[in-house]
Parts: sequence; structure tokens; C-alpha cells
Amino acid sequence: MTKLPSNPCDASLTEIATALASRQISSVEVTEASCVRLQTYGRALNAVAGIDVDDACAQASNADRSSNDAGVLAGVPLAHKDMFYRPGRLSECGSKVRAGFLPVTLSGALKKLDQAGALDVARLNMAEFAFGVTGHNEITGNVHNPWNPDHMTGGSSSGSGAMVAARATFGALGSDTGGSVRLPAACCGVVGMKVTMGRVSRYGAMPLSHTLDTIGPLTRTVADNALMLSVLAGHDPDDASSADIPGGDYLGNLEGGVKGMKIGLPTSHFMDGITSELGDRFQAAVDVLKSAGAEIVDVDLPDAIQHTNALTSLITATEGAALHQHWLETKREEYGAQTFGRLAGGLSTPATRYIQALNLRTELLAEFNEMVFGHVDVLMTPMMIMDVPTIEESDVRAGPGAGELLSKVGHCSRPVNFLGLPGLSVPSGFTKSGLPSSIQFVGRPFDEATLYRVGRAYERETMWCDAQPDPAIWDAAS
Amino acid sequence: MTADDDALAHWLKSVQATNLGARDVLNPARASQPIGNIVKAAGGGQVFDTEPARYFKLLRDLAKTDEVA
Repeated sequence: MTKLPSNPCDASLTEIATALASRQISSVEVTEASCVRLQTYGRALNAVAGIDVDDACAQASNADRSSNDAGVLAGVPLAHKDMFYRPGRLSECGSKVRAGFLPVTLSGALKKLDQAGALDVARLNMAEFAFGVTGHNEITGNVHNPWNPDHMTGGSSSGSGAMVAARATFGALGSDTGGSVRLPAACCGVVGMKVTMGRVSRYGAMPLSHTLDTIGPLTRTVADNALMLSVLAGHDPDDASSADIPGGDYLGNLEGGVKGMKIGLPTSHFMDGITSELGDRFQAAVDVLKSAGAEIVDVDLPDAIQHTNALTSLITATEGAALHQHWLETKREEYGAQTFGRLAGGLSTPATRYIQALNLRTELLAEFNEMVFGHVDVLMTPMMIMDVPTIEESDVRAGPGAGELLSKVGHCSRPVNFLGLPGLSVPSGFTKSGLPSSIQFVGRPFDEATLYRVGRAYERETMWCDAQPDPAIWDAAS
Repeated sequence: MTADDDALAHWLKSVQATNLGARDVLNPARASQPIGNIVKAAGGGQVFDTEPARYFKLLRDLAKTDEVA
């Protein structure tokens, strides 16, 4: 029998799913506790877009009455970024433009979670239209970082990062086009998986950039993340871009360790401009894995990797502009300044330049695969090169320096999106400012399982996932 | 000029050296065939090897074989 903490929300997803399966605790008890935190913590951190407690409790009652084989997440209350469509339920995408939008389709990712028995109890705030790596939102307000509410959460899955870190939800879906799962995970000190392009269905999820968008989970621990992805992964005939490749065994070899594995350290790009403190923290994380038995190897990267940050930004803005053109022309005043400025900028991208940017994905992926995965099992990088900035100092909107700041925040995340590879963000402790630091593991296409194995090996040695933010410091944010 | 623009200008120097004409995608002999013949010759699989399609195919091809099995 699992020993549960006094508040079930402080259990991990894996622990609570096990306890629910053995009827050690009821879904109603867990869901009520989660709803209390989603309401109170969500209000303090501005992280919740909508919650229907009566509906959540009704879902929980149904789960408690269902059979024992209802699925691996039976009765577990989850909450997700406000961009996954469920028929008849609001999905406003952090925007004014989509205020009141009631979808008629069910997101492929939510469908998988439903089939596994999970409950869907709240919609979480996000950057407007998922277009912003800092997490700022001029429409719905900024989400506050649970470790220090004066600081940004990272984005665009800002509410997902904050509510998982605050232990108000056991896991949350996010979307990652340029870092939007991994960056909020990194800024909020939780685990985030950016999956291989095609690994998780994007059907019924708000699109931003059809060649770059991916859907992935944010959770408190690596095992929780692996559990969620084991439910989410797999082919979806409703999503034309979904890969017909079976999901990997993410849990089976999770505790396999890194002894004998080769972990690569990049000799270019990813460490460029990193602060000395984060550089030291990264080296400390490398040492942990070395002590655990991994062989650490320097690997050269293609020279072109340095341009992938900018190319990802260009592709996203251009594809986003194509989707938003009508609203940009008819509802300009309903957009936040930064979202409008970046999307409008995409309207003027020459078609040739856009196509050339896409062309290079193939060339670069082939070159990167040979140079990196021809020598090592996993590439290890920092997740960010700067300490988590305050909301105020990173509130650049469309002003001078906006492009430079966004580029700096996405320095380590965007190359992975351009390549389409899987990337796992894992907490690596805290800087002197008290804000989280994180590391990133990048793997071969569709090899999320190895990333979880390495991430878990690091987590087991450090257990940063046990750190918990103090709600008493959030009063000033509300 | 933003940092993004500057990086793109640099990048495009190498990008523009890419010769799409050297690839089968622009082969006039192939382009002039009826679509049905092209599909049949390709065994019914992916035919229009545009750059995004080549990218997605490569991504799948690079998946570990034990993952695919």
C-alpha cells in the first residue's frame, strides 16, 4: 500500500494513480483536494482560466463507481493548457479573439487521457495563442512563478508549469513549438517532455505552426512524465502528421540507469552566453551522471545549428500569420501587442525564404543525427542560458529588444524544435536567486524512452523533484 | 535589423546554395507523367517528395529499429 501524504495533492501522479487503482483513496477525495488548490493557488498565481468544481466532482464520482480496469489514470484529476478542445467546453487559447469559443471536436490527446480514465477538471492559463516563450499575456494577465511570484513562468504553457510546480495538479498537457513545454517546466522546476514530431496527436489542439507544433506533458517527476506519455503516445488517424510508430516502453526501463551509456556535451551553441552560475550548475549535473556511470563525450554540432533559433522563429511567425491573417485584419485591437507584432511580421515573410527554411530541416537533421547520434546515445545541454528573469524585466511586449530577449530565452529549446527531435527538461536545482535551473536531454527521433531513463537516473541522484514552493509567499501576487 | 534577421541573412547564404533542381522532385520526365503512373511506380507510397515530406520521412527512418518493431 502506498503511503500517501496528508494532502493527496502532494503525492506524485504515479503514487496517486496507484492509490486510486487499489481503492486506497477515492477519486472524489483526490479531486476535491486538487480543486481547492486549483482555485486558491490558481487565483494567487493567475494560473487557471476556468474550473467547474461541480463537474469535476461528478467526474470523480463516476470514476469511483467504475470498474477496476478503467485505465492507468483512472480517477486522477488533471488540468491542461486552455487549447485542447473538448466539445461544448470553452477553449479560449489565452486570447480575447477566441473568447467564448466552444469547440465541437475532442482533442486527440484528451481522448487518450479520457480512455485511460483521467479526469479533466480545469483549463490553465497560457501565453496568447501559445506564442511566447516568456509566458507573458497582455490579455489574461501574467502567470506568476510559484518559486517567486515576481518572476516569469516561461511559456507558453505558463499555467501548466505553475500549477504542476504548486502541486495543484498531478500533470498537465502543454504544447511545444519553440520551447513551450520545456521552458515553463524549466522556469517552474518541473519535468517537461517535448516529443518527437508526430509522436502525440495534435488533432483538436489549437494550431500555431503546423510543421513545429508538438504536444507533451508537464509533471513533477520523470516517472510521472513517462506514465503520461505512455498514455498519450501513438498513432492517431485523425492527425495527418501523426507517425504510425508504436509508443515506446517508457516505464519498463526507467530505472535502468546510465552505466555504460554515452552522453554527449555540445562543443558549440548551447553553452554560448550562459551565465557562470548556470554553467557551473550544468557542470555539476554532468558530474552527477558521470558518477552514476555514464561516459561523457564532447560532440561537435553542425555549424548551422546556430541559426536554428532564428529559423524556428521565422517558421512559427509565418505559419501563424497564415492562420491568423483574417483576425489580424479584422480584430487587430483584440491582440496583445507582442502577439500581433510577431504574427503581423510573419505576413511579410517571402515565400521563398519560408520554404528555404523548411528545406534545411532535412539537411540539418541528417547531419545532426550523424554527428551526434553516431557517437552518443543522448545529447545533454542546459535548458536556459540565463537565470529566470522577473516578470517586469522580461515584459518587453513589442518594444525594442523584444526579439533579442525571446531569442535568448529560446536559445536552447528552439534548435530541438527545428530538428523535430525529442527533448526532456529536468530540474537541476536552484540558483542563488532561489529560482529553478534545468538541464535538457535530446534524443534520437522517437526515442523518448532513453531520455526518460537518463532523466530518471539524474533525478534519482538529486531528487530536486521533492522541493516544494511555499504558498505563503504568493500573497503579494494575488 | 534584429538579431533574427541578421542570423537569417547569414543562414541564407548557405541555404541558397541548395540546388533543388538536382533532385528528383523537379525531374521533368517524372513531372510529366500521369499521377496514377507515379503512384503505381512508387508502390502506392509517398510520392510527392517535397522538402517537408522528405523531412518527415527522414525523421521516421531515423527512429530506432526496436522502437518501430
